[in-house]
Amino acid sequence: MTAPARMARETLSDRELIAAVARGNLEALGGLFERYEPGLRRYLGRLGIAPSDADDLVQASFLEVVRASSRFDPQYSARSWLFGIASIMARRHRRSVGRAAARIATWMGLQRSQPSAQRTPADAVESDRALRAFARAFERLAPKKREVFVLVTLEGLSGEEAALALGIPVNTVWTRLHHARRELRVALGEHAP
Amino acid sequence: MNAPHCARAWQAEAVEDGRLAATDAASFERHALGCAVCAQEARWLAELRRTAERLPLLTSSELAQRRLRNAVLERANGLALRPRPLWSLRAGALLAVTAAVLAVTALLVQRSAPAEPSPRASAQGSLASRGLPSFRLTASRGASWRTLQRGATLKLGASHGHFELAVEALRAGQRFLVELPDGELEVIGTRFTLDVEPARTLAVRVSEGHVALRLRARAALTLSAGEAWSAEPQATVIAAGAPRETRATDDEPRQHEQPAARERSTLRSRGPASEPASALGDAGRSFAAAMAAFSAGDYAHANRLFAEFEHAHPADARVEDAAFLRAVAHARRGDSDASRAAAREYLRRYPNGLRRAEAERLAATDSATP
Repeated sequence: MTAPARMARETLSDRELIAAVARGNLEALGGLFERYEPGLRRYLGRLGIAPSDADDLVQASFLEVVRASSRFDPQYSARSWLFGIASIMARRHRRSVGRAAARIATWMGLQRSQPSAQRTPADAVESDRALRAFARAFERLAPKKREVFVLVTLEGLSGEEAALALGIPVNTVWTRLHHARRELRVALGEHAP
Repeated sequence: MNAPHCARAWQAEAVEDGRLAATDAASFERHALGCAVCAQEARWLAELRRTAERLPLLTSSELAQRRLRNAVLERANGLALRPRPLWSLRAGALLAVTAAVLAVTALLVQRSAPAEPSPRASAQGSLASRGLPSFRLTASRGASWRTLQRGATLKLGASHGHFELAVEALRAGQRFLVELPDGELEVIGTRFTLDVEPARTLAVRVSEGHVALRLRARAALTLSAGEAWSAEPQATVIAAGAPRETRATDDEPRQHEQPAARERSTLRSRGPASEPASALGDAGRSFAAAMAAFSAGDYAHANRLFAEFEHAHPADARVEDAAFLRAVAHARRGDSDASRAAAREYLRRYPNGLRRAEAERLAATDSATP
């Protein structure tokens, strides 16, 4: 990549980059990738996506950006749009993993599917009982509540941005967030902060 | 769960989420100073957030990120070349019929004009009022094409023949694509000519503006005014491992060719290599000199110049091109061992490089094959 091309990419806004992607400009896609890959990877990890699957989902998210770029409405936040795409990819992934787990469970004659044996961020927690307890409670959160908790509390999106990303009303964001916190609080029990 | 005993405890969560106005938030904070329940609630929420932030994060190394970026761009490039699904063709069928009627009407109007008989067919895109790009098309006798619309995108499917296209500057959201037998060409506001035969694209020459040429199994190219691409041997550097292509005879004499514009085939997708040497720095001049030797068929000299370029400008974006072209240069002068070695070196340095497929073919070339 040439210095002028890099400079041009760095000075373009997210919306301009998405518009350029819609015109078939792959340099612009590269610019979006550099800008948002770390954030999307972090977000997917916080949603419980295993590190081994993160690359595939990040890649799928950016390819979806190519397909959907012509439909992007520039009056909305590019950041929430991208997080929304990653959320959809994570949901699809969960469904496919869930189906695969169910098939395996049926094949093995098990009554119900077991939790995924894939290593998740929580597995890496070695110290601090409270943190481990939190990680376990966090993993048990329903995906919809977890998405909202991550987007608002950890990624710093506003309620409106999270609503746009997830395609839900803003009041639903607040309701899910409240329930997520309550479940974490109950699950944490004696380890509650 | 410990139910809060203060009626304002719910505001702790609203403050944490930024849902309260500044004055209401300040009021709550003053209240919390004297209310143990609300203070405890606010502390709990903040601690919950801090604990969540301590969870391990998924990160990737710079190298892994670069590899993934290349993979994404490579797949996105392939996505752009994939044939459209059937439903999108059906959606554009109505416009195709309309555009065909328009084209025929324009042709009849032109033929009925008192001008001298022309061996070429012309059509004028008059769909601007519908938000579609405006264009003028002149095609050789017997040429075959069709037009499709999808939103503000106008696609011209060129099956075979010689075409001269002038597309007015595109407005925001508009796209003008030319569907080729082996890829597609995207217009970025321009005037250009196009030669197509049923199975492949023969040549593209740009006289104004830019076009992006995306052919299957080849890296995308951007051609600017005065530049040309053709399927002649000197332009097959991207697919050097494949059998050489020869130019087919057109269905009528080429009376409007611009020799100067035909002579250069350039790779502009990732660097300014095709700019005039006088407008470039040392790196540009070195690369241009190497390319000139390559195009002239002096492959030994080109190999030396590319090697010097790589050594002198290791951070330049065209180093990857140079590394690949060295493998091609060796192959062209019949040194298959050196070609394989250079291709393997390219693959080692750029495992996800844009020329990976072609380099793999070169690396696997039988020693008996020049």
